[in-house]
Amino acid sequence: MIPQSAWIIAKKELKLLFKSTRRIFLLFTTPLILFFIFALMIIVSVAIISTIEEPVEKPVEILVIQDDKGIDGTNWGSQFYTLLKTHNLTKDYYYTNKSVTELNNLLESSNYSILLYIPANFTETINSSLPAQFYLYYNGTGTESAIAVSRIIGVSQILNQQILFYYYGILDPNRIYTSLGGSTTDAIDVIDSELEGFAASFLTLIPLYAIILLVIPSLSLVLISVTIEREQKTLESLILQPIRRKSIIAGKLLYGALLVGFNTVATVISIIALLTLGYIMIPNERKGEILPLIETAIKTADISVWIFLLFVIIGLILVSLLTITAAVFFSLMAKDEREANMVISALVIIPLVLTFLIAFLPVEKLDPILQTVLMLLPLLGYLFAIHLSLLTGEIIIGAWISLIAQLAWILIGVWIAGRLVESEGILEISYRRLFRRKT
Amino acid sequence: MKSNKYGTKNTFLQENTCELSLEPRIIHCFVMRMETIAIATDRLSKIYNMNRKNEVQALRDLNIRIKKGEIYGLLGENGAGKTTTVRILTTMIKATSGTASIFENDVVTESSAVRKMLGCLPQDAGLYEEFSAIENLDFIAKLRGLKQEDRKTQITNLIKTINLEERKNDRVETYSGGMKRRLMIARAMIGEPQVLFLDEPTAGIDVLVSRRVREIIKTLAKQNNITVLMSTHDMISAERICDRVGVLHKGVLIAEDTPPKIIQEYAGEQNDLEDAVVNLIGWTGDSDEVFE
Ligand SMILES: Nc1ncnc2c1ncn2[C@@H]1O[C@H](COP(=O)(O)OP(=O)(O)OP(=O)(O)O)[C@@H](O)[C@H]1O
Ligand SMILES: [Mg+2]
Repeated sequence: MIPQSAWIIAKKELKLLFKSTRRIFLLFTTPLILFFIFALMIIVSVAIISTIEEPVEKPVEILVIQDDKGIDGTNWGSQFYTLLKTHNLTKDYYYTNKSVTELNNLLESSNYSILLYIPANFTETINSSLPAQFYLYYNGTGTESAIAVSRIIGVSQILNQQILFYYYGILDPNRIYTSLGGSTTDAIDVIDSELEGFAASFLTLIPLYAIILLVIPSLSLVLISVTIEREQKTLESLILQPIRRKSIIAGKLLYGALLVGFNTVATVISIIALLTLGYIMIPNERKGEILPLIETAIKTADISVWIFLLFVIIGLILVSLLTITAAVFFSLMAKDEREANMVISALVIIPLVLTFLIAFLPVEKLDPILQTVLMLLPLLGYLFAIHLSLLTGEIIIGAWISLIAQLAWILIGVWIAGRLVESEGILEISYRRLFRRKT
Repeated sequence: MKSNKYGTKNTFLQENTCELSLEPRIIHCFVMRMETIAIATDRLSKIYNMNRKNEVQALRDLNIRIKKGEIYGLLGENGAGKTTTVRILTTMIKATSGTASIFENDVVTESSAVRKMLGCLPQDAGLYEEFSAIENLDFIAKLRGLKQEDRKTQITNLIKTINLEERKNDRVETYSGGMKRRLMIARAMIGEPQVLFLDEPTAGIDVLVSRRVREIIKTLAKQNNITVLMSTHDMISAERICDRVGVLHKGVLIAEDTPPKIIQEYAGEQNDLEDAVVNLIGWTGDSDEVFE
């Protein structure tokens, strides 16, 4: 399918690549950058794994400061404390008595999960039929703590219907009320689904970064290979040969595809090497914990996870090719490398900005027809499809359509580039000329 | 030498074969009739649009016929349209109007067939600076579809011809201007083309190589029957090796004949080609006056 002459041109480019230090530098930047990032990540995580003794399931510690003085032998505060203890039979909660002088220190140090302060006039206010108050200081985002908070409030209602509480903390108080009204599992649901939406936004950015890191070095190499022919005046000798003009374009595309392939393989190899290194660095007594974790992760992943991965990888290949096609297309018309760089940088910024918009705006609420149209866009459509699939938890049909659209964009790009060089003449084509024709 | 499949169909005097008489001139033409036309143009014109307002008519109604094995010199002042002619004939750019063909293959519609037959040295061509002479030639030889052994023998011979054996493995970026030019001449000859276009082949090369290049061109044309169209400002070369020369002035062909005839007709007391060309360009002034 690929003409012989395209291979000859691509091979020539590769040969030239290894004759220039500047180009070799460009080629190896990405794997090197990634290598250092991953090396850093692995060193840090190994360091963390080694220091943590009891890794998970730390019980929520509830510190109670019982300051209630009581009146005539009645002490509602200490009753509240006893009630709390009897109603929370699980081992997850401890109650530690602390003196009021420690309150400020504790608050400043943030060294608590939940801090419950029962003030000195607690009994007095209840006895005089006024609404009594206690204070809750909440420190953290975990669901366990949210449940604990709602239980504390529930217990306080058993004690006296009129008790008010003041709440200070990171967790939205509305959630606590919600969990009071319904069951505690509702509260957990609320928290989980919102976290998912946010995670989807970040996960959508990962393919974008993969594209940027894997394709940008190849993109600038392809750009150089096209513009240098014009600048060095070798383009003339190229088009004088008995090959089709389209083969020249195909040759440059092939070169770009080989570079992206090379970059990907180099990156994957360096990641595997680093992960192995990281595994070796983990202390022996903890190694046993890692492999079962990976095993269960693979075993519990159902078929849809694998299909999703396949979708992402096919998409990445297509989108990389699309980016290379755009590089060839736009540098063909540039009079030199600088002009090509200017045009292509401007074009790269658009999807970057739009991807952030897609990732963090509530796009899932858009009209389905508009969504499908968005998914047809080059590059952006693919990222949008990933985002929607992450949100809905399944690969939507539109996602596959978006993959086909990416392929179509590549073919359209190659076809238009071919037509342009045939009709305008590869020597004469330029942005200025194209622009002038339209005006 | 491969012969063209249209080889003998097109003849030099196709359009006036009817006026057969026994005049010596016509008999001469009758003999020429058997000769194949290598390069033919018909009212070839080219207009460059510099911007929306400015246009340059680089070539106007050019009609030339160059026979197989002929060495044709294109002369004329800077900006006369020589390079434009070469570029159209070698399929690099398209004419605004008119047609051109190489061995009856149209340069636009049958450009691939045309490119197979021609070798070209563009006026301001370049080389892959990081490649050596060998690598530069090898790349072009591969694109022309030459077999491994053919490539090797042709490249060795060409390197010998342009006298670049000592530096053949050095990067081109370390060459002098003339050495690069010599390499480009060699590049134009790869694949044994039947028609050779040389846009100022002797510009920037020393007298020894210049003489050598002249010899090569002459040998190619006379022994291998290769057709050569060269544009040049080098009157010595034109006078010594060209069978015919055409003088372009502001895109119009104002004279065309053998160098001795041109000299005889237009040269003054100096009696050389340079004198004739200077007189031609000087005389005519604005080409419009002469031709309209
Ligand atoms: N790409 C172009 N765009 C606009 N005008 C051009 C272009 N190329 C050539 N011209 C114009 O066309 C005319 C003929 O140019 P051409 O290069 O054919 O001249 P030439 O005979 O080869 O001259 P020289 O002896 O200097 O090489 C000139 O007036 C030139 O300015
Ligand atoms: Mg010229």
